[in-house]
Amino acid sequence: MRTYTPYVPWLLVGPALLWVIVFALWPFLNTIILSFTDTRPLTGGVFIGLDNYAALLHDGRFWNAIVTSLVYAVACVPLLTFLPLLLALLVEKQIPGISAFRTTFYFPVIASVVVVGLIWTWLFDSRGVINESLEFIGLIDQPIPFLASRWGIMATAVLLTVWKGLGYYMVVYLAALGNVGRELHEAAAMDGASAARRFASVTVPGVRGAMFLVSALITVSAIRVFTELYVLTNGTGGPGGDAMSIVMLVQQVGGGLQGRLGYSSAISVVLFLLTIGPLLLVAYLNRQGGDAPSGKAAR
Amino acid sequence: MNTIRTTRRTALAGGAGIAALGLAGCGMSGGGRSGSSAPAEAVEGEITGEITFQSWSLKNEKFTPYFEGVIAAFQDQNPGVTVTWMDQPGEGYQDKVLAQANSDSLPDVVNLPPDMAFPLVQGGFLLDLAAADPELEDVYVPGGIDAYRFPEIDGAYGYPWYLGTDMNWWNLAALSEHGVDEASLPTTMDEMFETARMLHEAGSPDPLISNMPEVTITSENGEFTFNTPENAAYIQKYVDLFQLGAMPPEVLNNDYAGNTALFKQGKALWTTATSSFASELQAEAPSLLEGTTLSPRFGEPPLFVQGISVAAGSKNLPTALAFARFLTNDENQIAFVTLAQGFLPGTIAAAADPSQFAEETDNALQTQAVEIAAESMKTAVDTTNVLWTADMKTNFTQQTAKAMQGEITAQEALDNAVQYGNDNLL
Repeated sequence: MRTYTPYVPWLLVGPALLWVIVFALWPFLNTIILSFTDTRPLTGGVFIGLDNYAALLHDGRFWNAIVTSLVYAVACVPLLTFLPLLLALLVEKQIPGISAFRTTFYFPVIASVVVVGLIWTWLFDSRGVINESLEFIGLIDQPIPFLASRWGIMATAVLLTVWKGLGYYMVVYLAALGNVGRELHEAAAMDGASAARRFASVTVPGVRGAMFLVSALITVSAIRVFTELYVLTNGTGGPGGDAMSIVMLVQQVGGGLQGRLGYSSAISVVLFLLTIGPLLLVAYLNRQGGDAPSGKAAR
Repeated sequence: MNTIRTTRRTALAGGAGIAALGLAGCGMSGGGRSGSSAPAEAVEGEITGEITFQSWSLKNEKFTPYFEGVIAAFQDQNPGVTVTWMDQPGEGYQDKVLAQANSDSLPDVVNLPPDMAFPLVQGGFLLDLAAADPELEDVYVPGGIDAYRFPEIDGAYGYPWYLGTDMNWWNLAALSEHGVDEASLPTTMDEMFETARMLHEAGSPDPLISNMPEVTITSENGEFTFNTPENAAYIQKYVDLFQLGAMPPEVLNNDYAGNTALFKQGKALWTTATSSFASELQAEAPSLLEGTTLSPRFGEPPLFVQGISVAAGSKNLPTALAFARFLTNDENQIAFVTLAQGFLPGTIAAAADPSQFAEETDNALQTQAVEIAAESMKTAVDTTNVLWTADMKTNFTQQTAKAMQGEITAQEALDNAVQYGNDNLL
């Protein structure tokens, strides 16, 4: 005879539940609470209602950071959604030595973004390798201020992010491509479909789920961009702080012994709302799209 | 309005919340305390038990034997005492101290510069040494003690430990290619701007000035007041130089350390740095050593103060106070600055005779730097404004960068920085 012990399920889920409450749920809720206060580190704060949010509306740096983060996301998402797919198609072939290429393309992923950022700073400096090379071959007379203008910094950062992220998303696509039935390609080829047509009509629908996932991940991480811009601008956000992302602003405002925790929490909440949007959209599209016409599904 | 009062722990969790949201990775916390004076009996008790001492980026081949010796000597003098020494890395020290304060684990004796001590004093985390130690003003240099006196707060919160200043470092080898020799080095900022302009027009690939303008952050009655026409005129000279193309574009993102880094790379011909820069050059850019020369800072040299504070919440206040005094006594300060050449001790008696801590070195530049530092210290002024936060400083840099790019005037940059500072005062 089995004895019902009502506490056993709670014992089993208890550790995980405790972890979620202590390290995810409570801090999350507390950040929202803090956003309604003027809290400072070490000295606490008082409830100030919506003052922080009202101040955000008139804070030029905040709107600037929103634009920076969104433009960054808009630039990164298509590049990092399609380029890794093309790369995955290239290295998917089973030919001798291909694993060496796969490994090489993955190398940037394991490199420290801070180290990579510093190297890129030296590359794109007004007296860095890029400018000196361009001057040497006579393409330019004056150095291009890659790291001294808002859009120059952002373009460099996007390039860095794409270069560093290609390998990671390539691996995601390689896994997805493994699920696209070879017979679909063969059938399409027999019907006279060109390579481009097979890519558009077989490959892309086959990896549609992966594309949604990749684009959602990139959107969220691009909106939250920090390290690349921080390293390239020495933490200043570029001239005038124009290339400062939202997370950099959170760090600038809320960091240190005298940071404004309440205000930075309010920025964090807005950022959370911005990032949750794309995730919900992807979840919705995934549900609408149903099963992808992968090889397995087709069978 | 005061319906909610957040506590330190609430704010600490808030920091974790921001991290959980993936929105920021910096340490954040908060809290509230009041008072930091200990009752007399608390600091006059028996010297015994365990305490912790925290230094800042001083655990290395050079200083570790020194600290181990000081701790051993203190323990020998006070049987039953155990001092545990912790050293924190240079990067992220603020965040570390913040986390320690929030978790009530601030070391009993801790190395803090004045600007980091101030918010801790506001939170009631540090002991008022003026109240706890009646001999404070008789033993330590007044300028050092004053650095640990804060606006609208009674008392003094740090024993002056070691004091430093900086000086001008010139890449004379490169300058001489354009006709600038040791005798014609600039002696004022106006001459600096002129020389920078001349070098640019002469086709020097390396700029003379590669730093952002810095002004003394003044305040009166809790309001910043540095948006003066004089400061605007000073910044305008940087603006003119930048727009002439005589400064590298990356200067807009640079800081004090960035300028010295450029100097070491041979990409800037002038920088300011403390006397320890000589050993940096020897280690990292030895080819520059021979062609580098020094001169005192223009105008009043800055005074950098490092001090030793005692945690108000120490469970062993008498021992903590005794160790803080022992560490900063004449003998130990002289031994310390003998190792840290170019710095001066924080006690009146030790600072009175520099020959006590002068050391022979085979690095001629080091010797010259120490001599200049010793002379400059006589007139050095601590211009640290503890009300000026890191956020305000970054904002000022951003505003100045806008002025350098011609988006706003120098006066507007100063006005904006003052406005932002006043709006966000603690």
